[in-house]
Parts: sequence; structure tokens; C-alpha cells
Amino acid sequence: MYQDYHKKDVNFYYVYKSLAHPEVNGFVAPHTLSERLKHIAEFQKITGSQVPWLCDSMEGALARAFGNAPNGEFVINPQGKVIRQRFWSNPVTLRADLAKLIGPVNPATTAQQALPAFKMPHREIASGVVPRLKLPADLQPLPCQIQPSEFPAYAKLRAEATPGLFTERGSGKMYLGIYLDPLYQVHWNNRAGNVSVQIEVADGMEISQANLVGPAVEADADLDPRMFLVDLQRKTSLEKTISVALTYTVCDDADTFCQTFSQSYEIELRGDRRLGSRPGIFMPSMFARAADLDRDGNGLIEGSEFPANRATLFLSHMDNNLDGAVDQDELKAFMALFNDGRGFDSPYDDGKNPNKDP
Amino acid sequence: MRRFLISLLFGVLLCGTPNGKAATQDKSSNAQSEGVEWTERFNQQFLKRAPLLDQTAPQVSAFNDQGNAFALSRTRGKYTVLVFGCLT
Repeated sequence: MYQDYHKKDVNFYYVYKSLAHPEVNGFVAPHTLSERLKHIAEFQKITGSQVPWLCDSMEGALARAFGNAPNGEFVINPQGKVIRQRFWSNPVTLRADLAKLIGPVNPATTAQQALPAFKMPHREIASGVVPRLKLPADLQPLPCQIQPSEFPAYAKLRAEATPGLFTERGSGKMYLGIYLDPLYQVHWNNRAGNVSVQIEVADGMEISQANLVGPAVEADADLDPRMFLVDLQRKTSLEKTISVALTYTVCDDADTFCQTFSQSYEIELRGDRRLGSRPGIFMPSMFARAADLDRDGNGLIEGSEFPANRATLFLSHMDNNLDGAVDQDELKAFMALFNDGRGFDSPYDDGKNPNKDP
Repeated sequence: MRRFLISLLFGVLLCGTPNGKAATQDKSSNAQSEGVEWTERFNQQFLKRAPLLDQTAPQVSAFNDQGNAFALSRTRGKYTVLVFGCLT
């Protein structure tokens, strides 16, 4: 559509706000504006897309001013007035809008013609060698502020907690995931020791384990996240932050350096959905329950068959032909985005849905 | 092995539905209208929460892909499409 209409003097901008689904395609949520810009450059390089990008500030001023929709779409007229506003971008409707406002383009450029598949380059480093933790399905992301450092954050912390911890004197589980940022093309150096995490909590809080060490890994090097889950209990209503220090050793893929780094974070004990959701959260049981969702057994999962408040979210990610339903091919294509094509980890040990009657 | 079995079960259940392609085609127009309905519902909720339609676009700044400040007011004089999102 950009190719068709920028020639007709229409400005197009993708706006990078925040990473909605960390881990998809191996991306890790950036800590800095320059990392966001590197993501944009990577996208442009891999896809060859010429659509200009705007990058929101780390505070999210632009997204906030435009209502914080996850995939909002706006058309602004030459006088600066908003004349179309959508919660979720819809290329079919947008093209109809532009045809009405500017005039139709025949033949229209299709997405397949304009944009090659976006896939991160494969790296010859071991992955899938560290067992992944089975995480609670109700984890919510926590804001993490990294302390300034002269080095980039080669590995990045993602913190999440179960909602019980957001209440005064509540208790629950906190997940700490340490993810290598593929932007820096580095890998864990397992011969130099394991990733370690030190957690410091306020006096009014109890933690099951404050010093954590990642698992020993047989491979000399790998790319897998290091995952930790701890129990927390808030004894008073005052404490709301947790300090976390990471120590890890990485080498770059080009073998120019191997170094041990330390990073510190301040974590706030409040859920913030703007920080995006990992695949396991935003559709926690999709993998195990897909057959259940197709209630009428017609081989299609229609909008009405998705969980009530998630239909638009599911369809926008999976419904490639925009027919309002997800067929088997679309589901397979979507699953292939995760875990190198292996799909989701099922949240259920036996693959059965405990919410369904036997 | 467990993951494989789940995948197999999942594949068989979807592939093995008796209605097949004809049913898929029969349903597609209904599915499309249901999809539009859902989308429209979310749009209406969004409009209530952030009523920007027919208003002057918020005059905020962002950064271009080179990291330079970019004021949205610079887009005046042309139709402008903004699509919010990210890479994933």
C-alpha cells in the first residue's frame, strides 16, 4: 500500500512503540532508544521494506497521545485532523479509505509482492539445550529500570509476577528471565561459569531464594534464556521495589571478545501490560486447546470461538487472509514463529486442559 | 515425545474434521462478518477511550529512523497514515 500511495503524496509511517511480544522471532525488549532504532534497521534490512518509521520515546509519549492501542491505525488529513481511527490496523479497510480519499490504484500491490517474509537469520550456536521452566499462566510483566552502565545490556532481564504480589501483604511468584539480545550477536560462555542473579528485597518482604545460579550447560556456548522463579511474600504494605543484580559471561559470535558483565535493575511490583506479553502469556493454552476452540468442528476457528476478549488479538496475528477465521495453515504458520518452529510449550504437563471436563 | 504427541493430536483433530473444504468455504462469509463485528466492537471501545476522531492530531514528537527528533506537525499538507506496532 505504501508503494501504491506514497507516489500519490501520502505520508506513511510505522510507529515503533514497544515490543508487544518479546521472544517472538527471538527479539528481546530494548532498554534504550538506540536499541529500538537498531530493531528498525534490522527490520528494514531483512525485509527490504521502504516504509519510513517513527520511533516513540522510551516513555511512550506518542503512543500515549494516540490512545495506546496495540496496533492503532490513524489517517490524518492535510489540515492535521484525524479522519480515521482504528484500534487494530486493517490493510483492507485502509486501502478502501485511501481509494476514497485519493483514488484507487489498479492493480494494487499485494503484501507478498511488496514485503518478503521477516525472519531473523539463523545462527550456528546451540539453542533449545536448556530446559525451559514451566511458568504460571497469570504472570504479568513488571517495569524494570536498568542502572546506567558503560556497556550495552548484552543480556536483558524480563521480570514478571503473579497478581497476588500487587496487593498489600500479598504473596505470589516472581519470574526472572535473562535473555541474550540478538542485536549484539553474543552467546553465553558456559565454560566461564553460570549466569548468577542476586535479589535484594526490602525488610518487609520475604523471598524464597535470594541468590540464584543458572543451570550448568553441557554445550560450551548457547543462546537459551536463563529462567528463574521465586516465591515472594509482602509482609508490610510499604515495599514496592526489588533490586536485582546479574552477572554473566558472554562472547561475541565473531570471537573478538569474551567478558564478564554485571548489570543492576530496579523492579517495580506492579503489572504493566504495555510491556508486552510473551507467547505463553498472551495465548497461554492455545497449543493444548486449539481443538477445543473449534467448537463447531468445521476446521476453522472463527472470531466468536476465541476467548471473548481476545478475538481481535488472535485474529490480527493469525488471520492472514483476513476472512475473520483461522484455518489450519494459518495456525501452523503462526506456530512456526515460536521456538524455532516447534510451537508453544504446553502449559499443561500432560497436554490436557484442566479446565475441560474429562 | 510429549510435545510430539500433543502436536500429533492437534493435527489429527484439525485435519480430520469431517466437514472439509466445502464446509470451510461455506463458513468463510459468516466468519468474515463475525471478524468484522469483533473488530468494530473494539474500534468503538477505542473511540470512547481515546476520542481523537475529527480532532486535531496530538502534536507530539518522536524520532525518525536516524534517531533525530521528528515533530508530527511536519506531516501537515499531506494525507498521513500512522500505524502503531513493533516488530513482534
